[in-house]
Amino acid sequence: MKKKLTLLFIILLISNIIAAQPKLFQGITGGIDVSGLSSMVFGGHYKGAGVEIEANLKNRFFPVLEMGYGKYADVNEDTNASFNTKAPYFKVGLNYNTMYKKTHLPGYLYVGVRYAYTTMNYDVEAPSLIDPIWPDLQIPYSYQNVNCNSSWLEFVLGIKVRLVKRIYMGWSVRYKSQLTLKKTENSEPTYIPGFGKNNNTNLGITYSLSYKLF
Amino acid sequence: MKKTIIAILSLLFAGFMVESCSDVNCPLSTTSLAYFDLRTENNMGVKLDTVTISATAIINGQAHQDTIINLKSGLSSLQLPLSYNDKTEYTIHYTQKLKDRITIEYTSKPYLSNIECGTMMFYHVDHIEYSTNVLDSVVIVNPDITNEEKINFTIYYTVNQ
Repeated sequence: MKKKLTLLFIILLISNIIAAQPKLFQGITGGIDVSGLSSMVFGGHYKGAGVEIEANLKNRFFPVLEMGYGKYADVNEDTNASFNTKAPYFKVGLNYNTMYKKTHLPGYLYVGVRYAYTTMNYDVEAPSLIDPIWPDLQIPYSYQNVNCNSSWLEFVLGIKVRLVKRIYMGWSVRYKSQLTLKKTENSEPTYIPGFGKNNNTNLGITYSLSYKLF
Repeated sequence: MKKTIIAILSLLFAGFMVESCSDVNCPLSTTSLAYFDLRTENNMGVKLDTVTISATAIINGQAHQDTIINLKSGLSSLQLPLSYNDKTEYTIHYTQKLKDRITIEYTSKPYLSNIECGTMMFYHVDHIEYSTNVLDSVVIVNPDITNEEKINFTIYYTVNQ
């Protein structure tokens, strides 16, 4: 009898724990990242836009897929060198909702990580190189359709706030660290769509509007 | 209304940050010089007495010569420019009659790391020839000549004690 009662108690306890667990799948959100478009307002050389799709697991884990397209064109006034590229980029990763227990709030703070990749073609031109000893000898510098690829990691800190019903807006600050860059014989890309200027690390910010699809 | 204003301000702020968040560090020097270290066979440093060094290159079938270093004394290393052609011959004049020739054959590589920094010329040394009137030998230490100050060649001399 005592054993039966203990078994019943354990079954009740487990069923209560299961019932208390939040539902695993809690919806899908789609969004657009428009920070690349707004850089044009400041006379920026970069134009770009992205879309993102995010699944909500237990209101705690948010696997994310991001895709975007960026265009960069610039002529440097000091060196008269120019760089042009347009390319897609892809990012996959996970956000972690640090406020997953506070479901009554209209927004949340999250941290996340992304693995990102792009493959691109670019054109680069510069004035002819003048021989340091014999200035009559000049070597032209112009390379078209140079193929290159790059991958990087992004560490994300962001907030997402509900504007109205199913519409959210979000900001994120991203520390980007370059993993790989395929260098070519005569140049490196000045700008990498999705990553930013070609440094080892970059700091970026995104602004997105998203819609809870279901 | 308040939320719309916040949304627009956020968008502008994000755009500003996208443009301003990354700076480029250009190298201090964009000139690539061939770096020669001067040593004895016992690997001791050597200082040259007064020397003049000229460079010769064949451009469009014609030999062009220019003086790179004129009557300098006490040199313990040499940093010499290379022609954008594929061959440069240096002549080290120790005295009016005594001289050595070092001929370097290389592949030139125009390079641009960033449009803010401009172009540079890098070289990869393919072959070297030299006379041994005063010097003993010339050894390639690092065949890649870039804007980094790395020793590319060691010239060995015999020094009379």
